[in-house]
Amino acid sequence: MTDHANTVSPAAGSFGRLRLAVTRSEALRGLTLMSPTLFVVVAAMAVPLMLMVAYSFWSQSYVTLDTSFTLKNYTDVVTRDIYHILFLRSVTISGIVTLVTVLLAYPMAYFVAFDVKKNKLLWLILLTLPFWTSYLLRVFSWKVILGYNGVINSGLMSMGVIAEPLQFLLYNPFSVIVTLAHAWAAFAILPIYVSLEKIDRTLLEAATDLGDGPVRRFFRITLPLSMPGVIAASLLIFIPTVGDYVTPSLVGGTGGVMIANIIQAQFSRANNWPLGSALAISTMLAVTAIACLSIWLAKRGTAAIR
Amino acid sequence: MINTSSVTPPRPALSSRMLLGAAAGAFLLLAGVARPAAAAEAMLFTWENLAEPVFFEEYKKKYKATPESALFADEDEAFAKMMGGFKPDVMAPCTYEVPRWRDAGLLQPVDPSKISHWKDLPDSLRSLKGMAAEGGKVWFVPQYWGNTSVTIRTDLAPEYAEKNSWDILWDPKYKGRIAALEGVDDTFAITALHLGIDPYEPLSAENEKKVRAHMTELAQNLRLVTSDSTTLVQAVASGEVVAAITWNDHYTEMKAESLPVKFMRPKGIITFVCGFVMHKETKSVEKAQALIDSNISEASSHFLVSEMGYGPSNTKSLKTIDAAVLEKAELPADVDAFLASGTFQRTLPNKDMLVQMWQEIRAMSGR
Repeated sequence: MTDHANTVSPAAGSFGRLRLAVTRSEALRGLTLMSPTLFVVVAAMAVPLMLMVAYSFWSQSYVTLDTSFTLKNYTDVVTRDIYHILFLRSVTISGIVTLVTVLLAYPMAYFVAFDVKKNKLLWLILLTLPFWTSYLLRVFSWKVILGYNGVINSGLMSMGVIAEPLQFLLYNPFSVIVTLAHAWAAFAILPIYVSLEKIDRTLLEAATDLGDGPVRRFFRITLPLSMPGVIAASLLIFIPTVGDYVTPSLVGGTGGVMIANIIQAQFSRANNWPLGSALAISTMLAVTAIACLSIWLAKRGTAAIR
Repeated sequence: MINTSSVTPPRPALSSRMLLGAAAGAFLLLAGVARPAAAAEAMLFTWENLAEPVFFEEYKKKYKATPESALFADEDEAFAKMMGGFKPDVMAPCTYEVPRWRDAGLLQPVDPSKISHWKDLPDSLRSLKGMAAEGGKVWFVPQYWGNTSVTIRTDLAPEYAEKNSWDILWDPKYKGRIAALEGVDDTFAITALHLGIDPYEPLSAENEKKVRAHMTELAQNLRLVTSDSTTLVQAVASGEVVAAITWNDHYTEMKAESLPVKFMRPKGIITFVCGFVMHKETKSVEKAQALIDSNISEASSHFLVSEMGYGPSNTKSLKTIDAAVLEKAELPADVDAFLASGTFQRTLPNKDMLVQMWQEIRAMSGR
């Protein structure tokens, strides 16, 4: 039995050596552990992304796809006003959504982190309860609330406040902002809660001992220390909402059309994948730039508070 | 016994192999689930509201099985899905869409001698220009015809109740109370026809400018743009929308709910003809033919008239239908004459440009 290692065939020997290498090397072991995820990421993200980059340099005419290299799509993206207007509109809508959501989520997260002493888990579950229903269902429930014969309109009409249903509630940027802000609330509450929970309570006591009032204490200690959570929440909301197309197509009407709706249309009814790809890539790059810039600004801002 | 830890520790290697196995297993499982079981029955790719059981009755009698069906909201969506690799056996576009599908290499001609109800169709439909018959081959078997026009709420816009015109769409009085269909085949055609411009001829630069301005004006009046029948019908039913561009099945549906509505029938109203084409790579030509045949049977035709208010291509079936049903469907008295003189919806020249234009106009018309 002790000779077991010597009696194996050369092939098994090399396998054994490989096995040894795998177990000895930290990096290789890590890679092995990661490989299923890595495989999925490469197969489901990197490959389609590369394909999209390739598509964006091709062109479409009628039913044929011309695969010779062209910059026509990017020229279109840069020179046509409609794409700039829609992109700016999307960024504005997402920006407002991010601001509103974070502002509304912060007090909630603060309350759970500092004032709730018992049953914290229960509170967190209650906060995320609306997110147990499907996203689409929540969008439709907003349609029911804001609609022409919706909850708000019929409520106000039965109270005699208004005679005609209010038109501005649905099918415009306003309804898109309301729906998105509600839909993404959990993504703001949780990261902010985590960063508030982590704050060392002795720091707050020290600040009070040294004469800071509640307001000064909040702005000098609590807010800067919870900034990572706020930044994470902002990015978690801003980046996906710029590219959201379901919400604007359901509650946006004509005025609430966003850049993603145009991209989606290129891939479906307009049947122009190359232009859609170019638009998607340009949007992706622009959003990345905005995200990086805002992280940098937020970090500078936090540093300035101290 | 020998201490196992003195030789190569077996654990990490074992777990990595297990992981690899699990990953491979999971992948195969996923791939297996993603691939549907080989379907033996023909698949019909049709409009959301046109996969009724009655259309499959003859097929069921013949093969003792129900054909499969997949649904689309409009042809642009259907085209995109098929270009992405979706392969049904029989598709149900309207005539104006057929040339594009044929040019994309999606279709094969149908042998009319294998369609038992072909002889029940009137000549005007059997020889639709450029569609049904081309080069001696039949590419398209018509199922029904109907109209695209404007439906109005007569109680909310009484001044238009007696008029047969599309002017209400551009009436500033109803700003924010108008709905339009998403497809350019309907909305662009109505806009152009309202200006007196033939939508089926290539646009001159001057006319293009005119149409663009007119569509922009329309967009400013719009509350919603959709290709979803339910959304459209609900919006009119609730009074949120006073007038909408619709097909006659929408109108029939609203009338069935006893809403005070009227379907405008101005001179030069557009008639669309929809029916069936066969996919080039159909699983079974024979079953695809049976499926087409089943859809234009007498029972199917009666259903089209009574439930949807459409005119059936199988005009022979009209002889066996109740007169009251015919009247309720508001079909023209002499169907064959109407069809022979009809202005049929055709393929829009330069449609991709029009789709682009309509997208832009809507996106820019923020209220």
